Amino acid sequence: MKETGIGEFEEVILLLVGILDQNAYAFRISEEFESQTGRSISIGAVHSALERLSGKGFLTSEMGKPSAGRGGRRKRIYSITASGRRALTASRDFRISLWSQFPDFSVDQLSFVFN
Amino acid sequence: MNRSSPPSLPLRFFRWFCHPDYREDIEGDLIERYLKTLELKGYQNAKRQFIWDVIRLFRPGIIRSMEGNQKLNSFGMLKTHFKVSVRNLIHYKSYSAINLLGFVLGLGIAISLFWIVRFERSFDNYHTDSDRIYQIMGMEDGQNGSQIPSGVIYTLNTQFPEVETAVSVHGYNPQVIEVSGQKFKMRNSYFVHPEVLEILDISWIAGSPETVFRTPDEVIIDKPTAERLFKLEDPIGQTINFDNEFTLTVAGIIEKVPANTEFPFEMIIPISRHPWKNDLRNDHWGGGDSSFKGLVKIKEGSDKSSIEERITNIARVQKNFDYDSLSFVPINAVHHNPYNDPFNYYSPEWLLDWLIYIAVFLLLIACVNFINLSTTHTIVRRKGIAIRKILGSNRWGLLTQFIVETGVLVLISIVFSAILAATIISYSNQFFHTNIPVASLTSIDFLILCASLWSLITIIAGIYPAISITNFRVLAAFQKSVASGKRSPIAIRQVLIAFQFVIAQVLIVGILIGTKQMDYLFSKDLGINHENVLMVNIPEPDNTLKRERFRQQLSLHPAVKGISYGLSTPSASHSSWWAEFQNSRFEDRLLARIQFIDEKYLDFFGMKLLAGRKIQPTDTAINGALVNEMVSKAMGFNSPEEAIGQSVKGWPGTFRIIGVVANYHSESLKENIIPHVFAYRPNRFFTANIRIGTENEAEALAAIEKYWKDLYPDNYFEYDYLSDALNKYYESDQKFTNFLGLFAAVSILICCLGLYGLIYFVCIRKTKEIGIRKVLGAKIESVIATLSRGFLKPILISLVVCIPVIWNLQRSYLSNYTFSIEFNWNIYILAALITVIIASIPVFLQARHSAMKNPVDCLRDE
Repeated sequence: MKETGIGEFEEVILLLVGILDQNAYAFRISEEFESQTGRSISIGAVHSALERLSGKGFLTSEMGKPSAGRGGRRKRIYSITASGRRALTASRDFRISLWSQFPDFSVDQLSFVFN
Repeated sequence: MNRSSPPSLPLRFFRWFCHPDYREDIEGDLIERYLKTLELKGYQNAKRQFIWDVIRLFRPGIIRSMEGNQKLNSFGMLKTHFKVSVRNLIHYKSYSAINLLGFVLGLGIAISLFWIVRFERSFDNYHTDSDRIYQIMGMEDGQNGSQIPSGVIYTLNTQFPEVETAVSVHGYNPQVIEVSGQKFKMRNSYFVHPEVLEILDISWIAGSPETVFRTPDEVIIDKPTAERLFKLEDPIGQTINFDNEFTLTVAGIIEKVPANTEFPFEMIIPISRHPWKNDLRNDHWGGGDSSFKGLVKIKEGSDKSSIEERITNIARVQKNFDYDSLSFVPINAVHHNPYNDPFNYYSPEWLLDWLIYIAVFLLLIACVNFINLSTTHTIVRRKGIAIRKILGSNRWGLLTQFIVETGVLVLISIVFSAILAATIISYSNQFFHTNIPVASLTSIDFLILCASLWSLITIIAGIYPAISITNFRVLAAFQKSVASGKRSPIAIRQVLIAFQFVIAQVLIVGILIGTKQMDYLFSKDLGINHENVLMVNIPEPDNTLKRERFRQQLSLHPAVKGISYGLSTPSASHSSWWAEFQNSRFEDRLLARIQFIDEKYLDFFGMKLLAGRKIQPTDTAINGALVNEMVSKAMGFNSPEEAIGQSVKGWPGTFRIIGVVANYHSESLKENIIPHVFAYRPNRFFTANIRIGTENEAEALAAIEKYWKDLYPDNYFEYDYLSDALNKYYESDQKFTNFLGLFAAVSILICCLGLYGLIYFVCIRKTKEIGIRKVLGAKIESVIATLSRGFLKPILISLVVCIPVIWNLQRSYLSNYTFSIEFNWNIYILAALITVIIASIPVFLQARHSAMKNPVDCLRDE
């Protein structure tokens, strides 16, 4: 969306990175995505999205420790930057404001956790 | 197979295309997924999933950039070389401009020449099975001819199973054709055996070889003719009246034949309709018109020479057969055969070979220019090269840089020279009598030619400078030394200049000789008076009354100085008639040219009668004939009187000699004088020769036309000037001389460009030296002398070196002509003077300019 600069898919990826925290690498993210949404996705798509978000400045990455399960190859762990957080907040606030303006979906049915 | 590691082939593919920065973690992800799927769903699924993942990873964000990374980045380097080359070209403008100009000139001409030669060598090679198609030529000891009697064709068709088909083709143009009451002139009309349509490839618009010529009254015309005669109407079924003799019905239309053929059919008529019935007889083995030709196509696998031998043996036995032997000339060589009476035009092989040599030489001159200039000029680039070396470039990288730079320059030149070549070719059709369809320039072959020339020239011109420039010691570049540069490049430079000027000098001498020879050819006394003679065709040859009336009317006109009838003019290049004659005193049968003349012919053309009497109308009946001196000499007589009374037996009959005429040149001056037999046959007086006074030429012409049209209203009036017809002999020589002029001019121009560039850069480098010399008191003249000496020396050397070359060349060129000029060393001196003067101009100008500079400006350069 224009306001936040990320699309729906990228937003989901960004959230998953936040959720997975220390385990936020491409393969885990794709697995989580599949289990959460039921859509299957290729590693390449995830990887491209992660690169794009890094390019926009919403993510940073670091190489982690090698592990046996990956044939000794290291993982690249992604984490959200401050501007990534701002983008997510902006997106959430925008959604909430729209939803609350819609009479049938009024506020008192939902509960949030504020940070 | 170890199933716990993923399939190796897709993995290797992935490693190849993946960007190295991402490779490790994506690979890890791939392996993790693979292992998981292996566990959950089994090997086959895991494998399939892996391959699918790798394929899905082949996307723009992940594929490595072509520039490569540190270890292997040739593509990236090429990009920088290209950028640097372009920048250098723009920065050093005069250097680039001079080189560019030299290349554009040299390449432009070379490309046009290659293209022209390619066209000329492509004649008639487009027919299917052209390697089995031949034109038959009659061989007679240096007087070969293209006339082939019908007897040969008939025999080939009936007695030779190896022959697929043999045909006669006679190029015979009507005096006039008539369509719906309108009169037209028709050229390129041919009487043929219908089988020729199967031998030669023709594109049909209407009709086909099977449907046409069911009856002998049909005709095929080509599209432009159809449009000219019938405008927009459908031509099929319409009638054309031929020469007021017979009517033909249009039965087929063909496309205009391509430009590269010796058979430019515009109108095709079955030979059975030919008016010369005698020539069509199957037992006719005698002489005739050189445009009456024979073609033969042999079956696959047949032996051409055995067929030649056998038909020759059969023919020699026949009475009246003129030639010594018959020879089969491949159809795509006919265009280059000097003895063929061409339907289109004759293109001598020697001319084409020379064009190629000259093209190559021009390219060499341009390359030499470039080598000289770049080895001199790019000494200023030493610092840049040194820095690259310090930063770690190897020799190969430096070489590549210079070759790329050369390549870019040559590429730009090729673009301009292709445009120049296109212009030259389209104009060449006017000046050089070639006939290349301009559309052919857009073909793939042209691109291939340009592309190959580009690579070739880049390498030839670029290799030496690249090697020599990158071959030095780093420190020397950073030391300010006055004499930068090794000794040997200077010597090589002089050798190269000398080489260039040898070529230019040879070309200049060539054009001088060529022009002189052309002048000689056009002005030599041929032994006949051909001043102000108009040739007019005479239709209705059997109608003596009309012809004499025409003569009477014209004789009364004040502007007409004389009129005489004959078969043709004494010296006609087309349609000459030949036959063999026998006499007991001849060593062998004598091949002589036949000329039919009226009683005024000798006086009209100023032909001297050496013995006997002139010819008269009564000589037809008694078969009296004149011969020329060659015949009486062949009989062994020392004085022509002795030949009188002798008889010569041949075609069209046996003649008794009643007089002897002085020799004259009836062929081009490339040939010897040949024997002639002159007879009086009024029914063959096809040409009227009319001499008109120069003062009232237009009046005379108008009168002639009027009288002619009054007498022959159903025919087409045509005339020609004899002097123009005579010049036609030398068309190819004239072409060659024209070309030579262009090449000489261009070559000396390129050489001077090179000289100018060289001296310009040398002067720049020697600025300090000049300044110091002047301060120490040197006069301007001595400074100029110092600067120019290095350049004039090689020019003088080249003048000496080219002497043997010129000696050889002029001998072989002039030996083409039986009658030629003598080679005089004055020509050489003139050429040398021209070269020296033209070459000195840039040298002195630039030297003077540098020598005049204020020493203050030069010495401030620290």
